[in-house]
Amino acid sequence: MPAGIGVYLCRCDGRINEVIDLEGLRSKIGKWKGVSEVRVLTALCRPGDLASVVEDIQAGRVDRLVIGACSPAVHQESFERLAAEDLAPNLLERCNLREQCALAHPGDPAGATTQALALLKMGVARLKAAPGPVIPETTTGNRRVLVVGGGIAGLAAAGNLARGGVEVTVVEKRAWLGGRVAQLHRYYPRGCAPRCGLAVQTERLLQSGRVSVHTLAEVAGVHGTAGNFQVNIRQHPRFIGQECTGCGRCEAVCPVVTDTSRGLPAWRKAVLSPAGSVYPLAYAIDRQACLGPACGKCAAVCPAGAVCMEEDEQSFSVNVSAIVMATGSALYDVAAVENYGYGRLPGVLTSMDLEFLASPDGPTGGRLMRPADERPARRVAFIQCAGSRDCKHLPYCSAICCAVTLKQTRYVRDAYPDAEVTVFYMDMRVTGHLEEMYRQAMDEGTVFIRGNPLAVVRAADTGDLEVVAADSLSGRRVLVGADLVVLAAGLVPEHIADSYHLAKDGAGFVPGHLPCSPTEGRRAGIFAAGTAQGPMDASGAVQSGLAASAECLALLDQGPALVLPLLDKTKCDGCKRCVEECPYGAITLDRDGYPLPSATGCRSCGICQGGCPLRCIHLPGFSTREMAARLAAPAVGGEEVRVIAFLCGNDAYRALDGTVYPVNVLPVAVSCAGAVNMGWINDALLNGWDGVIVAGCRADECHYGHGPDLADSRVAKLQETLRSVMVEAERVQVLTCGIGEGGSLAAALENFVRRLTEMGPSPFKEC
Amino acid sequence: METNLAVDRLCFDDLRLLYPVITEIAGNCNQCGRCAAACLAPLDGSGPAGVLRLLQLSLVREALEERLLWACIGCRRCSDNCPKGLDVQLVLLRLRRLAPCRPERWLPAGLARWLNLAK
Repeated sequence: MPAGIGVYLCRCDGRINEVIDLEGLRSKIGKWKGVSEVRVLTALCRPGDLASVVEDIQAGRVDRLVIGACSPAVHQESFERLAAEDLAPNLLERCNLREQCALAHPGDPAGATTQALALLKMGVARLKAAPGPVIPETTTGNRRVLVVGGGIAGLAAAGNLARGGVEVTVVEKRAWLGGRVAQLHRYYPRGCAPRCGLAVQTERLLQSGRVSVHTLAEVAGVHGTAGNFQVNIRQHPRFIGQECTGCGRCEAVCPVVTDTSRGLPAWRKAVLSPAGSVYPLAYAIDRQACLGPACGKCAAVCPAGAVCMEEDEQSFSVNVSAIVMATGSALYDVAAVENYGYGRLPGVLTSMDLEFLASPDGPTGGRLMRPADERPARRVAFIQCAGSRDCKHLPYCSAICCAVTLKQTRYVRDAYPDAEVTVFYMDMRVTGHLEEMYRQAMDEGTVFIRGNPLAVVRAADTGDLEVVAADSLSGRRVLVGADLVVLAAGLVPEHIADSYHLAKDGAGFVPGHLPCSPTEGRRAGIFAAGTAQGPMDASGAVQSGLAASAECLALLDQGPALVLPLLDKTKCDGCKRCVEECPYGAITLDRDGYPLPSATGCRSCGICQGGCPLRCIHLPGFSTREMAARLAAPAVGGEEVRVIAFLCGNDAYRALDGTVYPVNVLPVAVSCAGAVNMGWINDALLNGWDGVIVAGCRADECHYGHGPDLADSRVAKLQETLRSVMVEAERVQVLTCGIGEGGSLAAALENFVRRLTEMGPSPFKEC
Repeated sequence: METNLAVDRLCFDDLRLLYPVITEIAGNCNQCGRCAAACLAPLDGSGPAGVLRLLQLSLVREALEERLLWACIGCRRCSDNCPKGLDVQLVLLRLRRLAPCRPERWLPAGLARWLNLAK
């Protein structure tokens, strides 16, 4: 006897067969064509019964498998692993006889048995129409990763990747690595100097021998998909070569002086010094400020002959499997908060200005003094939320400024133990162990005034700065005199080009799909890290960099991928719809113009299959033939209403498990509501089904981004067509359902069936 | 005197029906206190934020008794400076409309005497 479909029905120790007549089903199924083996077993999930299935497969009696047992949400692995090891994942069909038949209709054994028969029929018909085994592909990408941004997050990611044996290219826009953290005097919670941590990280990075660092470089373009990105990099000239010994004579003679801060008397030359940075310890020339070769003073004094004004911009490209976007953030321009007078009143600083002022490399050598008259700054007022949580500036909370201010009160205390420090705040938001910094600041006598100040003004008589505010706790107006006013400015993301197609929030951060996939920017193989994701402190940035590197390693070392969509090249006309709609950008066109899904990028969401107008791209198990067989299998004639429900396997399908819903509804699990092709619905109606349900998550909860929105818009168009041919458009409906909302889904199905009954049988039905 | 009694018993939900704009502004207020710093009324106290706070606590009668309603000079600095963009001064104006239903209760004593309202 040749191998055929094996149908295995599970009694589940009585839970299934006390409602469903399994023996009756067995005798019916035994007569179906293509079925070589039907068995009723007591508990399929137990090793003994499972072994008998394996035995049938190995003896060559069975080459396709229908399991009529519990929901696919239970025992997610045993049957799937069995199929993957001994057959292929696409040759397994699980019919949910327990949760969605026996437990759903305990009072209606006949109805439950009919429904179980229909489900099994659909399963067998699908397998009969299935092509041969589809074996999942394995990744073949190179082990190279690009890290954009050499700040602390990028360095953490690059270092970890290098330790994991990956070749890393780091691209940094500025002349040195270290990013914003390198500009800090100290960082919290330890209060140590960040240069120490950065030096350790950079050293580890360079010593690995697997990292190439490109400073003064930016990404010019990205092509390809996960596993195979082609990245063009533009390298700006440094004008000072590797011969530079860091002697600093060039800087000393440079005649150009430019202001670097609006709050401090800080300046720099056109020759930029590497002081304070960790790598490379070489000078660079800012060509925009530089007077050009005509001046030539630096070249004349350089003992190493390293200055070369004739360098040109260069371009090169790298081929990488994944990209870490650690592009960082900038401080919000608080000059826009005009009341606080930044850039107008001397002595009003941003928090970054204070870092520079307190740092030994700063304009005063680390002494805190009033910029106007260089008198010691003993009275310092901090204004929290300067421009944050403000609808005219930044509507969000930047999360770090409270802790930053608490850290900076220590700078003032260390300089002047008798200092008068005042903090104006709306809410102090220091979470977790950072609370200790708050307690300590209060302990040291820092005055906290709850009230967002109106303005910073200059006192008419003394010319000192004064903060105008009201203390909302005591209901008193306050006027606090200060030598320095420090504005705690929020963070704004550096611009990330739209060509990356990353999913950004309103502010321009790439927050990821929270909480499940924080580094996921909806473009496979590109992972955001550090403050590109959202405001975070140095500890958070390192954590996020490590998380991104872990994602890269998982992508590079991926075993057999999830199932990739299959393409019927004889039907595809290269319309590119799938390329456009793939939420991960995982499909590119091959040389002949056919879509080519990337094994590393694809998440098997099936949105390409939902959108394909010719139904030629599909996940295994959902080909036109298989779906047609599925839809034609159960008898849908007669007066009784028959509904097919395509349910999102993440939420809606699982939600229906164990709820009491109408027996007329036959659920089919799909990967996402967006994976439902309108052709299937068309086929279902033509086959005589009375109604079709598509159910998925709520729009903002979809794991694949916008599946339910796609389903909505596609179904709306189909309904228009139905109306134009005088068929009730209400026969097709989209429902939304969370994983815990089975009750309301069942009620909606109940309602739907009632309305279909009132409407009467489908006009396409053969009665 | 029935109308006066009604104002006495006015609760937050009544206010929502009467002036939804007031309750919405009160509901959105962060209590940051910038309006209090901006306020030019010659009073101490928590300024417009204090009135909004009373509304947030559903203490409508207490809000109607606030002296700020009558001390407000209408400079609108509270509304102009609100970081959430709320039109705070509008709340004071609307509450003023309700307050005089029983003026001897809400008006400053001197003003009431001058208007010949005090018993």
